[in-house]
Amino acid sequence: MSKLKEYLKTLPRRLGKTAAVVGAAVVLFAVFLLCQGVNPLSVYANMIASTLGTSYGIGQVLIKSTPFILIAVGTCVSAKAGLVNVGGEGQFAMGALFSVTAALFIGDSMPSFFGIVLMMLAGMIGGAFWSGLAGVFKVKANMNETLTTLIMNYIAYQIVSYFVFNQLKDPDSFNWPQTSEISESLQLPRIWGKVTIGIVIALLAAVLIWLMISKSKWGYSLRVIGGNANAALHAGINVQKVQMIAMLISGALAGFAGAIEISGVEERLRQTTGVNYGYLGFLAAWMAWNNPATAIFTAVVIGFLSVAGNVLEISSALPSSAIQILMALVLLAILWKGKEKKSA
Amino acid sequence: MSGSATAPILETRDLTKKFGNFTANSGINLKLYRSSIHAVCGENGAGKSTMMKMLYGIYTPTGGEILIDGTSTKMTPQKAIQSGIGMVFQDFRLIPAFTAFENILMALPKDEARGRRKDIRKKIIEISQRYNIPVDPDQYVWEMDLGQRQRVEIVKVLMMSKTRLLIFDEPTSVLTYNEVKAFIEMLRKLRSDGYSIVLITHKLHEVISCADVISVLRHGVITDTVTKEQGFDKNTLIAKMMGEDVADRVMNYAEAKRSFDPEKAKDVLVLKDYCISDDHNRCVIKDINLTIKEGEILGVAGISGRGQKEFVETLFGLRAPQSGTLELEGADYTHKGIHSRIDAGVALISEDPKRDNVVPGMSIYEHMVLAGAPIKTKGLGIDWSIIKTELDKSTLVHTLGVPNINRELETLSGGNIQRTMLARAILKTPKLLLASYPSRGLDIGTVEIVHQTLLELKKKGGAIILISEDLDELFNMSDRLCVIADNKVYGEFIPEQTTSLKIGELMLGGHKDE
Repeated sequence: MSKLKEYLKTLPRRLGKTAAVVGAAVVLFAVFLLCQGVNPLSVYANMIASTLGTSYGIGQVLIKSTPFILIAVGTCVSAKAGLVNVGGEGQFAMGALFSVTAALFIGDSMPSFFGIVLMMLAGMIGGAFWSGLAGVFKVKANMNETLTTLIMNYIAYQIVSYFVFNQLKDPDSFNWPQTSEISESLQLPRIWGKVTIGIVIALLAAVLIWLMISKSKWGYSLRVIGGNANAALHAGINVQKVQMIAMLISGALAGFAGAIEISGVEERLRQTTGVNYGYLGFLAAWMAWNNPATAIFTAVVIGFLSVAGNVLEISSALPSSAIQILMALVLLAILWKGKEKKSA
Repeated sequence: MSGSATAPILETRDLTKKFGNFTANSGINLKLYRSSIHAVCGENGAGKSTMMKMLYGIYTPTGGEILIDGTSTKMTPQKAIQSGIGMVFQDFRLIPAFTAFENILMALPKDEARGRRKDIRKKIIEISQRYNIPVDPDQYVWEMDLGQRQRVEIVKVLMMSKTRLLIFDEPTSVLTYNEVKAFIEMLRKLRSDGYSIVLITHKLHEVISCADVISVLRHGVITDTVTKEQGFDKNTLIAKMMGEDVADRVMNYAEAKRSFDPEKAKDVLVLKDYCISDDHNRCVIKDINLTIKEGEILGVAGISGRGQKEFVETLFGLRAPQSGTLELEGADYTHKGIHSRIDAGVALISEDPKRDNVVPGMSIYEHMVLAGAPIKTKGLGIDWSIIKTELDKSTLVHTLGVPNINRELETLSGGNIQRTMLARAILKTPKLLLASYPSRGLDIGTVEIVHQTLLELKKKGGAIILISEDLDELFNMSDRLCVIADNKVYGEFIPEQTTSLKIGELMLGGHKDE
């Protein structure tokens, strides 16, 4: 447990450093706001008041953070095996597609608990299927996983579009490209306001993955591969197999996020369901230097910024996407900090 | 080349360098004169590199001063070049995608690089002929072996017209036996042309013939400086380098050899018509027929890069052979994976541990269980505390001088990494050890410890394939010898019944008068 102790002991100092670089990004964004003729202080005050100041706002942050946590942790798993999986977007979409299909098929036919479990499994299978394809490309044909997962995001988007325009289109939707609503019995139970049990599942999954990576024998071989694949090969580790499993887990987590989004938030699938979640989750993982424990925090930060982006639109007439400038600045600041760490 | 013959070009007074609490160098006093070869000898970690980096201005000294032509100077690499100090680094500062000519041009000071290309090329060829340093200006650096790269580096420094003092950092470590001879010849010629030369090395026997002054560096302090007039005594100098205790021990190789009885020993590895291919699926060594027995050391001589890497990697299972069969203790392992070979007792010491073994961010003990010590599990996790205790108790770990096992392996010096990886390989008493250059780059004392460790494994019945370029090592250690050259394995030879001259000829020319 000494590593955990060390982790907790150094946590305040590291968080302090992170706060400093994030602070720099916040200041830079304030300059941008000033250039736009907006008072940054009031914008920041509004952002915080409307997210952390009300129980509704806090709930929204938790709901938004749920998929980010799962995707970020999934990205960490593959990253530890030395793979850059940028496919959270597509794996999330396939997970959502598989789970919504399962949900529409199940309907009211079985007890809520079993129905939801089946839906979640379908989501995980969908995500794992999509990342698994990229894994096969990597292992069998040595294709760069960064490129294949990225390209497959676009394919997944088109597949989802195809189904919501065709087979899965809600007949009562006046031709809107969306599926019917899933049965009420398949919606995730709520624990607080609109917040569902999804956030709890996500946190549990994250902790489990963190334990698996840092404590288990499998996690050890994973880290060896990520550190130096050659050394793993020399140690008799089956590099391709471990990488393949890491890809499957990574995609399953993103697909799981898709299922939770369907079951707990959207209750149906649209073309736009979860657009950009995959990239934001990837962002969260890299902000955390692919440490799944830290990724929980960074995912919540991204969740907070996403919700706060809406406030930006309302209170300052800037498009909500302007918040992405702040996210990018934060990421750059953190990467900069990491660069200093390495050169020191 | 200015200044009188008697005044030193460069002088240091009480030069000291500290890294935190660690003193790398202290009270270094050197005087470097023109037309002289000054060798600085010391074992790994004695502080040679630190000293040289201060001379060239890469490190700022913590104390003391550097005088050039008698005036105290704050050194920077730019200042060093201006003052005529040239440095030939151990890890060359060349750009692989450029030709030799382009690399040299790039390194020249602005006013010298501005001349006509044709003249510069002419000067390169002049220098390379004068000092017998064959360099093809139009060859790309990535096509060159290490010896050729070093020659480019040397020409580069000599091209700067101000150069009058050359510092060489472990120059012979990348050179073959014959190249070393040529290198020493070149040094003599440079000296007679008035250059001042500083040679930093741990290979005492190579410099003893050409040096004018030898300084011994030990634990960061110059313990002795001897001039040629006073006479060099090899044994005294070694004792000064190593400390008395190590020098007193004499290895008895012959006795270890007698312990091996080829009649009684069982076969460990049998290769039949085995063919090795490289990354491009070209055959690099064909038709190998070899048998290695328990407790036997088979020495494999050859100039590096003749397929040795592919040979051990194929035996270890990292590569598939083109054809042929491999048997381990009677069982067919030709198509078995690395994992099952490790389980069967095969261990590999890589020629480049940094590339093949070091996982950044992981500690020594975490490396030790990688294909080494058995992993102790606790539930689904790993019980690191038991592993650490067992490593602490291991005499092998202590004999080989493995540093504190909590340190990150990546942060250790090359020699320390090598020793740690040897300890890891020997820890589980392998039945077959594939040792690629286990003593390359190590100092004399450590080489002896490495040899002793290998001989102990041999006594326990381990079979060892020893890949090396060092003929002394091969003749001392091996029960049988073979040579890799011309895509073939020549041999076997019994070391007592052949000569190093014959083996050396085979290494260079392959099959000639056999």
